[in-house]
Amino acid sequence: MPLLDVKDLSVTFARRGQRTVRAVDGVSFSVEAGEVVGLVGESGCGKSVTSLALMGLLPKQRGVTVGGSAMFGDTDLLKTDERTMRDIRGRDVAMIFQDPLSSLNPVVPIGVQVTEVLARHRGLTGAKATAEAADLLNRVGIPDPTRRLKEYPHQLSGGMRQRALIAMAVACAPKLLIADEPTTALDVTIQAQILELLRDLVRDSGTALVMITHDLGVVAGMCDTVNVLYAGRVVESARRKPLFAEPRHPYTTGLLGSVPRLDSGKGAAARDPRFGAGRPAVAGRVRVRPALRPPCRRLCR
Amino acid sequence: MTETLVEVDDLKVHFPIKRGVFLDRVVGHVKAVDGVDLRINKGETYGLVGESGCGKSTLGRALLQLTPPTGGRVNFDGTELTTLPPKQLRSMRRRMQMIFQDPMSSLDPRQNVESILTEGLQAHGLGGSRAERRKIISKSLDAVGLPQWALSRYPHEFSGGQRQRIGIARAVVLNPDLIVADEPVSALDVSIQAQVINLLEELQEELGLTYLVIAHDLAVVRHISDTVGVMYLGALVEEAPSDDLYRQPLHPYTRALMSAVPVPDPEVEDRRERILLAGDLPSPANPPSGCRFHTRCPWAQPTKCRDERPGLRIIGTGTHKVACHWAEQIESGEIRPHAVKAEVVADGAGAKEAHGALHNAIESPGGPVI
Ligand SMILES: Nc1ncnc2c1ncn2[C@@H]1O[C@H](COP(=O)(O)OP(=O)(O)OP(=O)(O)O)[C@@H](O)[C@H]1O
Ligand SMILES: Nc1ncnc2c1ncn2[C@@H]1O[C@H](COP(=O)(O)OP(=O)(O)OP(=O)(O)O)[C@@H](O)[C@H]1O
Ligand code: SF4
Ligand code: SF4
Ligand SMILES: [Mg+2]
Ligand SMILES: [Mg+2]
Repeated sequence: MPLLDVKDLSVTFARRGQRTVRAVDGVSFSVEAGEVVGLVGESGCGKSVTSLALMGLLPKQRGVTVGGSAMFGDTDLLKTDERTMRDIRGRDVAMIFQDPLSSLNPVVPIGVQVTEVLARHRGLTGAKATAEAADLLNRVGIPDPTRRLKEYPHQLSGGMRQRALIAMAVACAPKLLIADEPTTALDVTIQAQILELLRDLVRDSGTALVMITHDLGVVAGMCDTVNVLYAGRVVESARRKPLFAEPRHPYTTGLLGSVPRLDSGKGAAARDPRFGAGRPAVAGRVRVRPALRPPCRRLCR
Repeated sequence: MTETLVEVDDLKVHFPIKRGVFLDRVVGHVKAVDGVDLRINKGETYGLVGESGCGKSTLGRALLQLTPPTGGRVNFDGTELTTLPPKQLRSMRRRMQMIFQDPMSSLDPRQNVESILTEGLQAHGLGGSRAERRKIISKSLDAVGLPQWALSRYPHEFSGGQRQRIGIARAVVLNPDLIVADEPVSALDVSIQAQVINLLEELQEELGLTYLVIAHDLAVVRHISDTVGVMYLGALVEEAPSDDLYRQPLHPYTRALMSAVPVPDPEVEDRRERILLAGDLPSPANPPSGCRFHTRCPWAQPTKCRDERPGLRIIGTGTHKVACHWAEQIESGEIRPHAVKAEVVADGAGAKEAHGALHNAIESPGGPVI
């Protein structure tokens, strides 16, 4: 049995006077224990909405409809009550976001924020909690952790903030970590540090990871399986190597062909047999077509 | 025969760091650009890469005299720009255009496309009659692949990629010689990026344009550039023809930067060497002594690196330049990399944060600046 089994997840946003947006439209994927699963796609394809739905973090208001199921053990994450969900969040399933500043409390020192998590889910308090917090910061590669614990989020660099957030996320050794564009806001050398850290964490602790990104390179370097999203649907799902070696869906092929690669110079895509002649730029713009259900959305571009 | 269009010599831009209640005390300088030499050949593309805050945009703006340089010279097609009187500089500007990262913020939302494109022509007294202007405008729309009906539309009616085309049309309508493109595709989705990159390449061929392309994305830069310069903390650390640089990066920073870029190919990802840098980028207000990379360099040596600033020097055939004392020994394997302890950047902020903090500082006089 997979650790997480998402079946036919759909999310629609309805607002009065506006057309209904079907942001996620029948997405299914599963995550085995210790596995790294990628969700990759362009802006607006529904990656963040998918992760928020799984975490029970979508706005609880009329007009937001979530369908399908997401079985985590015996619990359906989409249907469980808010109290159970609060226990699961942080303890069993944790999430990190693109912008660490928005998920840290700006007026509370880092140390207090980390020890709060430890108190809540692991019952640690006082000196014990502080020692554990320092140890966690150390594990995620924050230099001089005891001093950093006393500092506020704005005093840390972007990379260090993301590390602090990862420290909080892994504080309770969750079974599943969902990372939504965790490195998009960072410089590439800092991104490399964070990706390495995530790789180590997954390897050492057996935590499963759902890696959400628009960067096919990130996916190629760390995911076991990859789901390609387009306009709220999974258009292709494959193991990492087959996906890149023989993409089956025209959208995946187009996406791969349009990425300028560091290891290929001017005009190299044109010479790649996978993409035929010329660089096949995907035409038009990815957009969510409101409540539209043709057999295939590429047709309507 | 290659002809030089732009020649930059020891260019410097130092921004004062002000403190005090009235921000009237200068307590130091952000050395955003600190001694850059480069030349751009006619009809070629020079790509400038480096991480956030290293001074790429400032260099681009100083080159166009949009930010006054603190020192150094910029020669454009035989004319020295740094000493040019304002009036002559203004007429020179037609020949040097700029394209920005976020087309939305650089386009006036209340102007339709026609008026956006006409504005520049009028400012430079070009195009003559109204009918002639229309012809020029419609030609540049064609050139960037926008339909004629776009003329009466407003920026918000277009997608990000189309807006960038409008930004490009606004530049090419003036028939410039040089275009400085500052992160022209970094706000766009990958599939749209490819279209805009292709467009820039096509226009270059058709119109014989010369580009300075600024980007933090090495893959984009490699794709479009003939020559690439790598910047770190306000200075070039390496410069070479695009293919040479990527085939054989010589500077330790370039190596680390290139090893950090994810490649969308699992086979490549699995066997590539990763050079992870320790810690954050130091602040350009307080750059390290000697080689500015020595605090993070895995090859740093006890002699020279800390106290002697290496300049760009030619290695090998004459087109590959690198600013490292030990480039040859590193290349031959004589010097091996070692572990580096991450240093805590003073004030808890790297270059990128200092970057953001600056803007806050203006609103909170007396507060901690950088
Ligand atoms: N609260 C909301 N109300 C209405 N529409 C929403 C809401 N949140 C998201 N959407 C829409 O759902 C679609 C999917 O958005 P989502 O944020 O999941 O995209 P994404 O794949 O994460 O994109 P990005 O790469 O830009 O982060 C978008 O069209 C978005 O406008
Ligand atoms: N007008 C200004 N006044 C003071 N400091 C400035 C000013 N403009 C830029 N700086 C500083 O100069 C340094 C270089 O900035 P610049 O914008 O050139 O970097 P960049 O390489 O373009 O970065 P990015 O990739 O983020 O665009 C930064 O530390 C920045 O904070
Ligand atoms: S339009 Fe047809 S060929 Fe193209 S992706 Fe859709 S189903 Fe496949
Ligand atoms: S000069 Fe020294 S510190 Fe600088 S890059 Fe070369 S080896 Fe590293
Ligand atoms: Mg998102
Ligand atoms: Mg910039």
